[in-house]
Amino acid sequence: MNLNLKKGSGTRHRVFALSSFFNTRLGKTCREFISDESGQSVLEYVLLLSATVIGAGLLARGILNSLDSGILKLGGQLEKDLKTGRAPLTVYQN
Amino acid sequence: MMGGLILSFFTAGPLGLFYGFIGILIAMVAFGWMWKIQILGAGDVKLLMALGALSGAATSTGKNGLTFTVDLALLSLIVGGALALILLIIKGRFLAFLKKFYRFLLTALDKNLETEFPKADSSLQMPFGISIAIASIWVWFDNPLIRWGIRPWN
Repeated sequence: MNLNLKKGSGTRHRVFALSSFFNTRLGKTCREFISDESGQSVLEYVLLLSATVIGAGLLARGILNSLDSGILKLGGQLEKDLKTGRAPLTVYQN
Repeated sequence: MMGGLILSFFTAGPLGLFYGFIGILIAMVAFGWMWKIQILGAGDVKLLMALGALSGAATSTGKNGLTFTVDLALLSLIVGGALALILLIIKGRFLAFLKKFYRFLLTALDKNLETEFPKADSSLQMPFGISIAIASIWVWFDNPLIRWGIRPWN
């Protein structure tokens, strides 16, 4: 199917859509972001962010490690109970 | 950024291109908000986005394309923190910084005191691009986050 646009209408529409986007708040932020080439950062903020990243990483690692050891302990206890008959073999059902 | 995407496509195919786009997106999310609240300059965010575009190329060297940019962002913050610490000590402002932070913690934890937010000295600045550059080389050749064990998705 061949559709013919009216002379110049498509381009005008696109230009209008683009210029109206750059007039919105998001558009202004994008324009600001594109034109900004600076690369300076405040020392104190960077140091705080760095400390937060290290702290969060260590905390996450600690939580995951304790979860790991907890699950292993539970599995070991269950295995022991199944072998000694303290837990019924049907413990997995339901 | 375009160069990174093209390189990702030629080294790892369409999947590499996909990883490249994901890398750009991760970089924008990880550092974009810091630009918005004026901690970093937009140049730093764009540099990380350009390096994130190389995620696809990173997969061709055996790295995880999805975590490459996250590792890069984390390591550049850690390296940046170390550089900031050294600069603060050299300029003799580290104790003042600690005092300011201690006052903030003290006022934030005590309900009877009005919280005193630490005001950063904006005259003390450094180019964050240096830490991104160091971190990118470090992550590419030998990711230290794996050895240090502060990467929750090991």
